[in-house]
Amino acid sequence: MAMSGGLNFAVLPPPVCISVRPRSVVALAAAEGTPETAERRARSLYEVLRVRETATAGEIKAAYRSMAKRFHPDVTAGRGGDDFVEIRRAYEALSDPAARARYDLSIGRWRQGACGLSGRWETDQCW
Amino acid sequence: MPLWVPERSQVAPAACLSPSPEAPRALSLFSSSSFLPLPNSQCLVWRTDLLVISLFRMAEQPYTVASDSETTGDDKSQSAFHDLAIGIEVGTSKCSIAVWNGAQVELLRNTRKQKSMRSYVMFKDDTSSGEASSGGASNKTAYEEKEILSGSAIFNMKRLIGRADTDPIVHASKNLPFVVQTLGIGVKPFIAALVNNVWRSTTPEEVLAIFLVELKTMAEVQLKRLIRNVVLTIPVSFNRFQQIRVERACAMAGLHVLRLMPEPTAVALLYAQQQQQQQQQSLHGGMGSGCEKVALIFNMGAGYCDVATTATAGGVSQIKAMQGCTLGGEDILKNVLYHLLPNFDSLYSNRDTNKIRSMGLLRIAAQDAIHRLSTQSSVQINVDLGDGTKMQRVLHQSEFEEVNRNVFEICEKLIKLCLADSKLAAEDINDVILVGGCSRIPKIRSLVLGLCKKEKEYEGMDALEAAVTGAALEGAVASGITDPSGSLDMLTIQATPLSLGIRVHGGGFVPIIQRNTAIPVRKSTIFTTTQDGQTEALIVVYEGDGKMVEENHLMGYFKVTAIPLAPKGTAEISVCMDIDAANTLRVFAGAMMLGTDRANSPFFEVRMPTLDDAHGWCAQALVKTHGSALDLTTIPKELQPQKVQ
Repeated sequence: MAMSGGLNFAVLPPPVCISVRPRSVVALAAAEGTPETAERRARSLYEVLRVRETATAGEIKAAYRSMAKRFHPDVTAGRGGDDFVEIRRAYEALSDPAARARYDLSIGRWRQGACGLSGRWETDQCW
Repeated sequence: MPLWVPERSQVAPAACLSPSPEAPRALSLFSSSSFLPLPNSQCLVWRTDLLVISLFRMAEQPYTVASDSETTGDDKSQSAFHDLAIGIEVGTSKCSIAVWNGAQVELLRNTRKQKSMRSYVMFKDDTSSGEASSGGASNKTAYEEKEILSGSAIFNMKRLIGRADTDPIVHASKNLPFVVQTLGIGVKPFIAALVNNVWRSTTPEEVLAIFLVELKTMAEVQLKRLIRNVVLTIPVSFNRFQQIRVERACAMAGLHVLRLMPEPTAVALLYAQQQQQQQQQSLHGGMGSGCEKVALIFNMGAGYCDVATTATAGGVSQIKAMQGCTLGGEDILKNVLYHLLPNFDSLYSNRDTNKIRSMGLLRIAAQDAIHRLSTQSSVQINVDLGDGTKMQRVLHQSEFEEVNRNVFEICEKLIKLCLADSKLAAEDINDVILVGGCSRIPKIRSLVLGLCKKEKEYEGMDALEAAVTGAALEGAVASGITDPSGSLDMLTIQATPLSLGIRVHGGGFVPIIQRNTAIPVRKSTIFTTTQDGQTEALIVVYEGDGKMVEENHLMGYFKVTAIPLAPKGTAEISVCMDIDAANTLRVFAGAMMLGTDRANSPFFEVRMPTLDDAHGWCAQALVKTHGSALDLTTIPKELQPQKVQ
């Protein structure tokens, strides 16, 4: 049930953010009262796909497929459409080398704040 | 919180101990996104109950909700077989039904042991009967092609359904034996069958519904259970109007459409299954691993031509791109008929029954010649048209190919477009799958294989059964059936064949969901006002790929209100589109508070299409009544929230 719910808004810093504003509006209008934990909000695209940040393109594709097989509404009898939308978004970003690079940069920057002044290699160790 | 909550809370624990059938739905609603509307008030009540339960029992049983959901999930799998969706392919000319029998897909046969049945409905006196009669109705005679072409039967429903009388396809259908009348004003065409020398009117939906009732009865008798859920295959080029009409016809026949599946995607699912089985045999290929195989699926039947590319690995088939158009055996037949008899049209202008008979005979002869040309280089046509004229001539394959050059050119264009859309070169394709009746035409085979630079086509699929088999597989997968041997361990991730977007100032079309986007999907775009102090805006939703709205299909419209007062170009209106796995489109729009990402007032959620007939008129009427006062426009790209693409 870890993947249920699925309205994961206001997640990412702007450069790769997927339509930040409309999504939060959707969330506003729709998800009032739904228990959204802080932990879920902060999930990175890598976490959504359950891969390491160092995953290769092939690994990302394979992860997307196996996630699709578990969370696609066809196999979950119509439930969890949002989970798949989220998985799909993560896959779209991470399977495109340019978008992935931008995203990496953005989370790198974000983590720099959290971990103090450090290079990217060190931020990786944060995980 | 409603006032009655305290009272409900007293009964809630009891209700929780004995979950009613409604519970699982409410549970899923509770835990998943609420972008979907609450299906009914009952669910709303349940939802509140559950909230109450969780409040009251938080300390000892925080996971009541989850465990309930699991229990009911088990119940579901036990009863699932009763609800197992069957696959139906209603073709322009032929139709078939298939079902997952617990181990594999089985095609049902009619009383004459045919798996592929002619699609038509015969109108007689006060009854109408279709081809699929079976079981108790076995004494019902099978009509010969000659009778089907007598004007008393309606066929080619698939080419007529959901089209307006301005549609060229409807106009081209006027040379069919039954009456197709058009007034050219963008409304439903008038169709009628000859009953007791009177043209009796009907509609394509009605005809399809009658036909589906017969199919349903036939399947129910054979499977000895009631049939409710179906997966129906449709052409790629079907717009949402056509889809709605098909769904409506199903509803009239008492069938619930679980999925409308573009034909090549059904084939893709079958391909995914075959690939996975192959892989399991050859290696212990784990989930998601194994090499990815790319296939091009070319499907051409009597009415439609579809092309799709799919990438398959580990039983998951991802549709990369789809292209389709209304082109098929009917067009080939028409070309041949006009070639054989250049004044073909004049033959039927007065709809004399003798002339209709002659036309029928010529149609049968031409069809037969086309079939034989798939294996012969020339055919002899000998037909007595009954009115004193006899046709005796030889038709060569080269001649046939020449008169159908336009058809082959369109096929070629579709394949090239599809390859370009999927960013694939011929070398990237591992398999070329040819399905549909017209894929037997030598010229078409060589054309498709040539464009994909392949020597031979993929083997192991029956060209006439692949789509319906895929539909039955999808029916089993989407009904929640699992198979211990892993034969149902697969999935097709569908894509939208047409872009969806809205009209902007000046009549331009701005897509919000681009074509070939994987579904389910949710995308949004911010628009802005075109007038100073504009407080309302029209959201006019279109489907299609034309740059201007006139080239696309109007799905519906609604007004966004409560836009904050601001100079033009500064207010922000968010338009979000959502397509769920069942392909339902919802448009969600509203104005934002200035300079924030918060809604100014409640958003509007509209399920599309909202329109029925005369949609061409609506667009004109909107422009005439409102001019550009309620127009929206795009905002510069740099101000648009960026999207990952």
